[in-house]
Amino acid sequence: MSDLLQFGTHPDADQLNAFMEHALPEHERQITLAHLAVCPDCRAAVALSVRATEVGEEREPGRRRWFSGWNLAWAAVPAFAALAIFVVRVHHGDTPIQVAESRPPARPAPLADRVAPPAASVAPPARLSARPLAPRKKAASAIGPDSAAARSGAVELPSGLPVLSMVSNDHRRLAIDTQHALFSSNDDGQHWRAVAPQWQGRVVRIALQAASPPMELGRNAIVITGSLPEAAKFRALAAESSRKQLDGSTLDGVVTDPSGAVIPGVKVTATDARIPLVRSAETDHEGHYRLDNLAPGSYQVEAQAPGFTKGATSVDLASSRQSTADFKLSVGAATSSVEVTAEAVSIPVDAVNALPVFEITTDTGAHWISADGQTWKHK
Amino acid sequence: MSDEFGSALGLVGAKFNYGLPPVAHPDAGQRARFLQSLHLEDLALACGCALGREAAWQRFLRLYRAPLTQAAIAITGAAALGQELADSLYSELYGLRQVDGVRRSPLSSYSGRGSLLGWLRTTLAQRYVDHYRRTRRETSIDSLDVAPAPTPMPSPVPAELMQLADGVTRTLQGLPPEDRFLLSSYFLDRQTLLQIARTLGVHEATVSRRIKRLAADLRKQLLGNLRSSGLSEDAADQALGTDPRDIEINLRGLLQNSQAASFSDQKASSPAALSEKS
Repeated sequence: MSDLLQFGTHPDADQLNAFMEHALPEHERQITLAHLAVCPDCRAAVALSVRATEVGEEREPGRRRWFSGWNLAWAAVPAFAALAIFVVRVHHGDTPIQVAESRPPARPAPLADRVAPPAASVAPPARLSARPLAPRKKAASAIGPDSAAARSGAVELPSGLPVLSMVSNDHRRLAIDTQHALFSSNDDGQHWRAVAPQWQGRVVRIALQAASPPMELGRNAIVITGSLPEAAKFRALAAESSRKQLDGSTLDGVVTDPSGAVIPGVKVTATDARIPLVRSAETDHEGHYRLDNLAPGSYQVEAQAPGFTKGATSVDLASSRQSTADFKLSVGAATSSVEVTAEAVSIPVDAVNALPVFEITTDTGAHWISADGQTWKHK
Repeated sequence: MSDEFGSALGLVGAKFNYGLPPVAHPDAGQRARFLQSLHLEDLALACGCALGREAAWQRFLRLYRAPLTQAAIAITGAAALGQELADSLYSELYGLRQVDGVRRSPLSSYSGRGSLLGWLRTTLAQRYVDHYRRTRRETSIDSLDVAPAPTPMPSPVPAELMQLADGVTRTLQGLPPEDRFLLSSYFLDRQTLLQIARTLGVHEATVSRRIKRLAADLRKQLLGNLRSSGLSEDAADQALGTDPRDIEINLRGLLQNSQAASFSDQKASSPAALSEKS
């Protein structure tokens, strides 16, 4: 209880909250009502709390009226567009800097009897969806305030206060403490430096943002990682790739074993020969995979499944065409046969993101961005 | 932690006599029902935080930091003030305050009867009311006149008006708590029907009907009181048509001071005090 709403004189927050949530037994409810009837301060506290509850509920997605007004019209747009998620990340190191995964559309046909894949490798009923990257050392990550809180147990800020929110961009981290002081680290949070505020007000939100907004969501999830020194070069290549994808092509095919039985759950990757851009997909129950919106060019396509040898081939994709690369994987064999055919098809437009930067928002609503967490620019 | 949580449950049960009136003796089934009705997960989290467990605190942050700020902004109606309010409560909850070297967190007063989020919202609302009162108290000193205006001498009041004032007083004092709460909220605080309905957990239309019926009943009771005090029916009707400004009666005071006993006095017979100073 506070210094003004003194103990004994007024019900405490626990009592009032239980009253508002109708959790009081009748005898206590009557006593609380009797007090509320004569106490304007407690009535004000109850009214304010109800207001806060209403605002909280309005922000819950479940209370939105999706089937009214423009929402109905807009619902058709994400139905076509929101089949994929772009996530852009920057990565220090020499590992391949782009990985993307997608799954082909679900096929309702039953699983062939002759297919006997390992249970773990059977792909679930497929819908195009973003999947997390396979665990990699030094993988770039972007964590929001929620996950930051989970990880912040090991973080000790110079202020000695708990971490309120933290984002991470490879080795670089940015965090605010509970007094909203901003700190940055270049070594995975081992050492922190206070960031001198160049802005008015306090930092209320930190995030990892793309340097430029995504142009359009495509069907396949694309995860891009890269090292900062390569940023400029990669950005140019990515932009070129993005332009090419406006005339994107599709690659699909079927993966079978030596007996001709389809193999589900096979990871098929297509690597752009010019830039280390990797797109990947998994075969569905019919052994079918599909990669959409590939930029025209040469690709090294590989299929890999547990218990089978890796199959690989090179494919030249022309603009706005659909190509097929079927794999026949052998058990213990070192090679596989591939057939490539092509036919014309129209391809939806897709685009690529650029690199992420730190972004902060102050309580005055101003946005500032920084690549290194120390030098900030007003957005 | 399980022992600590078990003892916390025991304390909560004893404090509220397992949801029964003070004179009742709860049996095993009633105790079990009371404990099952608690928000156990929230209570465990609050206990852990109050004890200063880092894992509990991290979970609390993850779950409630954003809603806490949101609620504070909604309560204050301003982002900066809301942030400040949330921050100050946050520090307090974390247990920065120590009593006799022991960390003291308001979370230890949470009983689990309502949700933890609701408890946080109500605590914020109380803090804001405090803040408002303190600010008003501080600023009002500057705006006070150097010499307060002399209290006007009461002018002689006609006998009918005296009887009317007496009748109104008796009528309002005879109302049950919920009716007085309705009148206070609607007529004094100018709350909307919807706000009152949400507080009481009934439909807005129900509140509307009850207020309408209450006003009609009040008129009947008032007429009856006036007649019983010696006024004729016509005179009572005429008295009710009096301009309220002509009678010296403090309706606000009547509604709000008709029960002068403090909350703790009303609950003095409880097995344990409901309110706990945190």
